[in-house]
Parts: sequence; structure tokens; C-alpha cells
Amino acid sequence: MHIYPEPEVRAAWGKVLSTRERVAKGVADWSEVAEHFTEDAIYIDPVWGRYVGSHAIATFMHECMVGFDDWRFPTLWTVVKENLVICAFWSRVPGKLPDGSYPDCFSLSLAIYAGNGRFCYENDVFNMVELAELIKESGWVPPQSAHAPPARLDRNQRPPERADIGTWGLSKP
Amino acid sequence: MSTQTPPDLGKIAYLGANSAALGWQTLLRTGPAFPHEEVEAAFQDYAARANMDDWEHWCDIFTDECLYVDHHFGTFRRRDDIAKWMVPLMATQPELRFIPEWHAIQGNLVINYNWNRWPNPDGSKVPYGEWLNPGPATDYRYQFPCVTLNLYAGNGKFHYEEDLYCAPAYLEILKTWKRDMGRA
Repeated sequence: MHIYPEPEVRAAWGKVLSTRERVAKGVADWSEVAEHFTEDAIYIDPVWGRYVGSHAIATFMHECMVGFDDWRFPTLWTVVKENLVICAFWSRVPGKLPDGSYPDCFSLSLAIYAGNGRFCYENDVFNMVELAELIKESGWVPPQSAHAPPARLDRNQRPPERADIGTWGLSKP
Repeated sequence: MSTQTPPDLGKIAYLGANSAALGWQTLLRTGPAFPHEEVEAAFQDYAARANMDDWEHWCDIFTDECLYVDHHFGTFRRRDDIAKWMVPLMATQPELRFIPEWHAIQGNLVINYNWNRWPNPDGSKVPYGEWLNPGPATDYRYQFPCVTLNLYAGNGKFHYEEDLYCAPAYLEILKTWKRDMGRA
């Protein structure tokens, strides 16, 4: 299997974060995040489920984030092991909590780099019950334009079977 | 342990989020990094203890003063408080196993993608407790992933843990497993 150089993996992930930043500034749409993924990529969200293919990812990213323009996702740290990226960030609900602090939900992105600046897997991990509570505490209400997530989710968390870059992007667990 | 999902869960988790914020600010940057091999050995010890049905022993891998954030069950600040929660909890679910799928280490931080797994009710793929050589994850139907973050404190001990998983998935899978075992 091929292990990409860490600077290349970090640079590619940095571009994903840049796109997230551009979305936050209102100069890009969430669907543009899909451009950093391979055509057969898998994207998993705890609230929205599992999406396969960059086209499906673009559609889902747009739909799930409509009405969430005021949300922010500040990055905490990024760890790279071979082709695997682990990035911690806050999912920051707009507004403040009663004690004046940010309504921050601790979140992780697990992503597998597949070369050519693209990723073949991302799994965003957070506690959706906690996020729901933070939304309630902050008083944030989704606008009417927001879409409801699917009632039933595909909870399969598996990454694609890619012998060329290793399961989970690792030469061994 | 309760299998109900009262609104209190989110309340507990909300307190957890604030603890987590404090934890990252104060703990991630403290002290020099220990040698990679030492952190790796401590993690292997941690994973072994999680699979030997001795939860007092597992709790001993934490320093007396520590921070443990579980986004479902709450926040604990002492080794003894972790034990008061974990020992009785695990007595109610002795079949649960904790199988690392992969882990990554950077400095004193260990990130562990872990399967929380119950045995197949038909007895297939047993022994499921062979955590070092468990076989493909797809052999098992009753499991959910949990990402654990640990900070190593030296002397074989950790002083921080944070667990991230989908609480509704945990409760849903536990309920289904109990039903399929004829225990519901």
C-alpha cells in the first residue's frame, strides 16, 4: 500500500478547512466541500447518515447546511497518521449560553487521504443529543429554509475497502 | 444503567461539553511529550484492562486527580469517581467488549477508534473477547464505534479521557441485542 507524505496529507486537509472557512465567510457553498473528495468517496454524519459518491456528498452537504450560515466550526488540532487524518473542532451554535460561553459541541472529523489532493472518506463524530441540548440552551431556532434530516439513518461506519491506501488509510491498525 | 432516554441525558452531556472545553485548554499543552514507545505501551495496557472484567483494575490506569468526560454519562474528576460510575455500570453489561480498530498517537495524546461490542446471539465468531486478534469487524452485528481520546501522564497512567459516540446508537443496539438474546 502507499503511504503519502505527511506534508501532502496535511496540505490536502488544509484545503478542506479553507473551504469550510470560505463557507463561513459566505463566499462558498457547502456543496463545494465535495470537490475535495474522490468520485467514490463515503461521507458519514451522525444526524444525516451515510452518503456515497461525490455527487451525493455535494447534494447532502448543501441540503444539511441550508439555514446554518451563522454556525462556525473552529479547528482545535489535527493529527495525521499515515493516510488517516483526525481533526478536532467545535461545532459552534450561534449565540451564547446563559453563562456567556459559546455553545460548543466537541466534534471530530476522521478522514482518509487517497492522493491527488482528495479524500475517499470522512466521518464526522459528535454526540447529537448534546448538540440538540446546546441548540435548545442557546435559543437558536432553525430557519424555515432548513431541511429536516432523514427519519431513518444508515449507521454503517465502514470506510471503503481500498487495498492501495489501506483500510482506514493505515498499514496496520 | 438505564436504557431509557430521558431529556436529562442532554443536560449531562451539556455539562460534559463545558468540561471538555476546559480540559483541552488546560491539559493538552501541559508538560513535555513522553517517548512514543512508553505512550504506546500504556495504551496497550489500557486496552488489555478494558477486556479482562476487572474494572477496578482498569480504573487504576488513571491518576488520582484526572478529568474523564463521557458525553452520555457525564464528567468525572477523580479516579475514585470514575470507579464509582464504571464498576457498577459494567457489572450490568459483562458481555460488552472493547476492541480497538485503530489508534494514533501524537505526543501524549492517544486517539482510539474502538468497537463497543456484544457477542453474536447465535454464538458465531466466539470467542469475541480476543481483543488483540478479533477478525473482521463485519463478523459482528451488535456493536457501535466509540472514539476515545486519552492524555498520558507518565508512570503508566492517564490523566484525561474523553469518549465520543452516538448515544442513541448505543441504546438502540443494546436494546436490540437484549431482545435477540431473549432477555428483553
